[in-house]
Order: sequence, then C-alpha cells, then structure tokens
Amino acid sequence: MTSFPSIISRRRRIRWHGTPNALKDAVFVVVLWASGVLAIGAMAGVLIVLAIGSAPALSQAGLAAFVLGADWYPTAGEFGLVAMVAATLAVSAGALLVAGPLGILCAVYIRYYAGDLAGAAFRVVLMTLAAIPSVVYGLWGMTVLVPHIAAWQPPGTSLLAGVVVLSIMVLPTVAVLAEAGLRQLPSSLYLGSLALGCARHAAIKRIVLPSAKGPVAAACMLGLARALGETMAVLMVVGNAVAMPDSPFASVRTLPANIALEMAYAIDVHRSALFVSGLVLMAMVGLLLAMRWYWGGPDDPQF
Amino acid sequence: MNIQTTGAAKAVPPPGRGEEGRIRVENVNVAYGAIKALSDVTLSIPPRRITALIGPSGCGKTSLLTCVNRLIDLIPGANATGRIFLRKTDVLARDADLLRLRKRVGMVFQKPNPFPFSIRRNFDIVLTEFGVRRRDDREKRIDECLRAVGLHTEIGHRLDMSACALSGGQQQRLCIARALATRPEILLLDEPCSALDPMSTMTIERLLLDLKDSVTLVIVTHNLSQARRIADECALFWTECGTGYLLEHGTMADLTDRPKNQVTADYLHGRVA
Amino acid sequence: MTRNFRPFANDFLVRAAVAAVVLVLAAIVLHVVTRGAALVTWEFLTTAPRSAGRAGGIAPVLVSTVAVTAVALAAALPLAVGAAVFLVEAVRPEATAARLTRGCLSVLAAVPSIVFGLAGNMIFCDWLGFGFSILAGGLTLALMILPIAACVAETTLRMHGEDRRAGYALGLPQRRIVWSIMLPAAAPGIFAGLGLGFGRAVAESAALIFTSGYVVRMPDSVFDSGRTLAVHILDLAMNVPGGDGNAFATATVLLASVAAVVALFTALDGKRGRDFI
Repeated sequence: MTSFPSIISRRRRIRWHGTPNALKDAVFVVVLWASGVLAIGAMAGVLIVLAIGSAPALSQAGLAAFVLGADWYPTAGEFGLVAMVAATLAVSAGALLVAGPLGILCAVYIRYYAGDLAGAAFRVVLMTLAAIPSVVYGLWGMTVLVPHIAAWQPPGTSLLAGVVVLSIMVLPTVAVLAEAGLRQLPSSLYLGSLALGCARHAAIKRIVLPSAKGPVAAACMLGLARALGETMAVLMVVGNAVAMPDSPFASVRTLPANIALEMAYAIDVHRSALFVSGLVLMAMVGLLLAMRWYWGGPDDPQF
Repeated sequence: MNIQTTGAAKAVPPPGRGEEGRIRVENVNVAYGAIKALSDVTLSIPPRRITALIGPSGCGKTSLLTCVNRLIDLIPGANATGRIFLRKTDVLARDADLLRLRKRVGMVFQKPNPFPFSIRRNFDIVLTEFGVRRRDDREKRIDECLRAVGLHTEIGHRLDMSACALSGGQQQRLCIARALATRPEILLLDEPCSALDPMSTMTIERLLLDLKDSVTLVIVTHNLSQARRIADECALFWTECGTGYLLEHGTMADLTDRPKNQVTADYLHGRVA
Repeated sequence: MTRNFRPFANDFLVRAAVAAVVLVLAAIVLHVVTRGAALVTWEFLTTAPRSAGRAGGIAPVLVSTVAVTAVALAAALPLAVGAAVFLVEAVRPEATAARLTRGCLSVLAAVPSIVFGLAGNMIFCDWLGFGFSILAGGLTLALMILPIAACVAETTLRMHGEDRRAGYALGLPQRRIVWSIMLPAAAPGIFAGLGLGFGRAVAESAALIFTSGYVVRMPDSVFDSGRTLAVHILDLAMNVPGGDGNAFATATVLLASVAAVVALFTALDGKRGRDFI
C-alpha cells in the first residue's frame, strides 16, 4: 500500500472552476418544472378539449336531449345516447363477467400453482394477449367467431360476439394486475395458512383472496375501464345498429364505436354530439377510476 | 504523526470553532417526522484522526453522519437542528452552500455504490464538474486517487472496464478513491466494511490508517474490534425509547480502560448486545 | 373419493382456466398466421396496394406506420423523461405537485384511445392546422403513450437511488446528477418503456383514423396523411369485400413487428421483466 500524497497541503492551490453556475441551475429547475406542468397539462388538455368540443351540442340541444332522448339521429337533432350507453355497459360488464373470474384464476395460477418456469411462460402468454392489436382481435372475431354465432343465431354480429372478443382482450389486464395485488400480500399469510394445515385451495379461497379483495377489485375496475374504451375490436363484431341491448344476439352499437363510425363525416352539431359521446365515455371511465382509487390496489399507471 | 499545518491553523480559531478538519457538533437534534432519532449531541471530532461512532442499531450514528454533509436533506421529513461547525461555517445553517460542503466532506456508504459506468467515468463526472477539464490532468488525478487506495496496481490499466465488474472490496475502495477526488478534508464512512469479506475489510482498514494523516475520518461501525483496531477516538451512542444520544466520548483507550459509565464498560467488553 | 373431490375440482378449475387462455391465444395467432403468412412475400412488402387493397402490397402503409410511430416516440421521449425526472428530482414524493402529476398521468393512462382521437383531431388537425397528417397522428399517439413511458422511466430512475445519493454526496449539482448519472444509468429502462409505448402505438387504430387519416398513398412528408398497418387491417376488413386475405397478411406483418420490437426492448431492459399491460 502506497501512502497517499498529501491531500490537504495541495488543497489550497486548487481553484474550483466549476463554481455553481446559478444560471444553468435555474434553467434546469425551470425545465424540470415545465415537464411536470406539461404532464399535468396533457391530461387537462384532453379534458378541456373534450369539453370545448361538446359545448356547441350541449348548449344547442341541452343535456336532457342526450340523457332522455330515445333515438340517435344526430343530423335531425335527436341525440339520445341511452341505448349506446346501455350497450357499452352490457358489452363491458359481460366481458368482465367472463374475464374477471378467469383472470383471477390465472393470477392464482401464476402465484400459487406454477413453478418459476411455468409462471414466467404463462406471463409471456398474457403479455402476448395484451400486445395483440385490437384490430387483429376484431379480424379474428369477424372471420371466426361471427360466422359460428351466425350459424346458430343469425346474423352473428351481436352483443355476444362483442362480449367474447372483449373478454379475451381484458383478461390479461385483470390477470396481471390481480397477480400484482397478490404479490403485495405478505407471503407469511399463505405459508402460515398452509402451516396451519389448510389445503392449498382452501388457503387461497378462504385466506388469500379475501385479504386481497381490494387490489383484486381494483384490477377488475381497470379491466372494466379498458373494456369501456375499447373501440375497434368491438366495432368490428357487434353490428353497430343503435338499439337497446335486449338479447345477446342483438346487434348493438357502443359509444366508442359510435365516435369511430361517424367522426369521419360529422360536421357542426353532429361532430359536437360525438364529443359529447366522448365526454360521457370519459365520465364512465372516471367513475371507475374513482372506485379503483377507493379500493386501492397496485398503483400502476402502466395499465 | 505528521500533522500538517495549513493556512487555517495560523489564524487563532474563534472560540467554539475548530481548525481545519475539525468537526464541532453543538446541540444537534435529528427528527424524522414526529419521531426523534437523535437528541442533543455535543461533540468535537478532532482533525486528522479516526473517530469511530459506535453503539447499538437505531441510536442515530448514521443520522449524525448524514448531518455533517447535509445528505440528510435527501430524506423526506427529516429535520436537523443545532449547529455543526467546520472551521467557521455552520453546515446546518439554512443558507449553507451544500455543494461546497459536500466537496469538503466526502462520504462512503455501507453498500459500495460506484456509478454503473466505466471506472474512468466514475472519476470524470466528478473531476470535470470541479474544473479539471484537461484530459491528462484528469488522468493524473485518477491515478493519484487510485494510488491512495492501492487500486492502481489492480485496475490502473483497466480504467475502461465497468466499475460494477469489480469485486465488492475493490468497489468500496473505488468509492473511497472517488470521494477523495474532490480532495475533501473530512471523510465520513458509514459501515464501509459491513458488506465485505474479512480480507477486503483488512485492506480497507489499512487504507484508512494511511489516509488519516491527511483527512479527518469519521467511521460508523458495528464491529467493536474494528473500532479498537483503527480508531483513535470513539463516541458511544446509546438509545432510549427509540431516541439516540451520545453516551460517552473520549480516546479509544479512555473508553476501553477507564469508562465513566457502566454501560460503556459492558458494551465495549461485549457484555451488552 | 368424495372427500378428495373438492380440492381436485378447485385445482382443476385453475388449471382449466389457464389451459383455456393458452388455447385461445394459440387459436387466434395460428388462425391469423396460417391465413396470412403465405401471402407475406417480399413483393407484398414492397408494392403499393391495388384495387382498394384487395391486391398488391402494403409498402406505403409500412412507411406511414414507421413514420407515425417514429413521430410518436420522438415526441413522447422528452415528455416522459421530463415528467419522470420531475417526479424523482424536483418534488418530494408526498408533495401536492407530485401527487397531482402522478394522478394526472394515471388518469391519462385510463383515457380511452378514441377520446385521444377526438382530442388529437381538435388540437392537432384543427387548431394547429396540421390536418389529417402523420404529424397529427404521431403527436396524438405521443400523448397516449406518455403515461406508460413516464411510469416506466420513473420506476427505473428510482431504482438508481443509490447512484443519486452517491452523486449528491460528492457535491455534484442536481443537473449534473440527472444528466451524467441518472439518465445514462436508467437509459435501458427508459428505452424499454418506449418499447412498451411502441407496442401501443403500432397497435392503435381508434386514435388514428381521424388524426393521421387513411389515405393509402405513399406519404411525401409528415404533413401528409398516412394509413398505418392497424388502420389498413380495419379498412380491409370492414369496407373492402374480398379484402380478407390481405387483411390477414397485414395482420401477420403487424403481429411479427410488435413481437420483434417488444422482444427487443424487453431484452434491452434485461434483468427486470416488465408487464406489457
């Protein structure tokens, strides 16, 4: 070990050229805060634009026309959104009814059944499901699912087709987020119940799942929010007739599909009415987000 | 021992203020939120010696250490009151120049934390910031720092390899070398050997003994025999209801052979966990 | 026998659910690929569509897709990194500003893509006067992928808290710590986040049909309208009778490119596998 050349004796001779550069620091701080404000502004901007776009229709026709109106003939001044709201809710709720339990089972599998390798492999399966573009699901639904349903209950393009396609799309969201919720539980909970002599399935059903109720519910809420906003896959398989969803085989139109179908040619009040559709959709998603925050859960905006 | 007299020693230090390298801690309290971690510590750490801060876990040793270079500011909710003087500046003052302070006071952590870049870059980031702009000047300074920690023979010719590829002991010595790159007058070490094997620990202890001629070393350690091996002075902290306080301070010999407290005697002889 | 039936039934349920999911994935991918793969030839990738896409290839569509996603990623990168650095460096985690920013990002993450389409149409096409263009579509997508990219960037930056502390302990100024230490150290994670963003962007159709439009010509600049792969599939499937074949071929190309890029970016991220959700 060599001894260290004296530090202190030389210390005095050093001039610190890099004295804190106040201007550079100030610019840096301004840029930092600007980026923060920009992130907030992006969110606020989307909402504000939605409100501005909706204003003409809301002031001209009034909110009542949207809530109480029975029919959707926007060019003739009829703006009833009820049927489409009901259809959106029906498709999404149906999808969650399938994907919710299935997703929770998948989460349980990854966490408590699969070994490391099988768990990782199954996660890849879920990631792949999540990564498949929605038009591809739509394409598959149109060419495989709809003909099958049509053979049974024509015309095939129906609420049911929408539910099936959507539930496949929502499943990975629910499964991965529920798994994240289960991961947050202390492992002593599960191991402790096994140590008490519980069978695996009983430990999961009676101890693990009840204590993960919050995060699992939150995962379902996010899945539902995702289902509500899904546009193209649903549009391609549900038939898009504006009607109350009175049977699983009925052709319906969801709110996002409505926007996608009509935006291309809509002008004036009609266009504004589509912004109102967007606003209503956003309100529904907002409600779910609020419920999700209320229940808590894996705080993961990656959803 | 070779104590170098420098500019600061010529002027008569004003009362309550130390010469270069001395740390005067006066009535320091540390709280994390509502929890008081350290209560009313007054302590003078002598220059160019090794001072060991010892005591059971949670007695505020590390808190005190992070006050000296104000790294405690990074912890949300932490609050330190009192005064700590390095020469004539109070480092706990609201308007203290933190960047200059941290250049004067280096710190080494429990876990080696080299930046995940090349060894050269680990130094270059520091050196360029402090005005060593010419490449060969930097090379010289890097060599000087690596020499100081005895790494120049081991890695002096491999400066472009990733710092993370070094062994734990080498990483820790690299961190010490990096801390020396700012030419500090004080080096704070927070359990620098607790993540290392005995051989690396020995290397670092020898290194610290070499360094104490030029810098003040303050080391937090849980290893009593390590404190006995290297420390000149020792401060024993104790804890009561979660709040730490300074129990006894003196030379290592004083504390081991002539303790003022029964607790000190028991602790230093391993009779209290 | 009856005593052992219940655990068996429960375990069976879990495994059956998993098997069903795997089968569905296999069925969908196989269906698309078996119908599309044979049509994907070099000629298909390099020629323009003919007869509304029933025949010919997808060259302009590929170019538009690359252009739209490039614009989106280029715009999202600084925004996301800025927001993440803001959250890590400028504010304390529990501060109001931090909570507000985080809340806004997670709301933004939940906004349906069709709503981004509406907003993008109004902001970029109307107000900024870009019309239906690759630029408008890309910027809309940038808004859409901002929250994921920012979230991933933030987690990665926080994983380098040790380096940050080391930087402060050395007396380096904040901008130096961010530029020279945190960002280079977190770069792989940040790019992995962008990879996730790419997966979203290239799959998106709802936010694009009325921002970047569906003109199928080869775009000359970012101010031209351009049709992306996903929009092309949609159009072939919905509006072009007999377009199924090429729709499947395009879907195969889309699946392959998503898989390739997501795998690439995940590999970049190395140790920490990230959820593509």
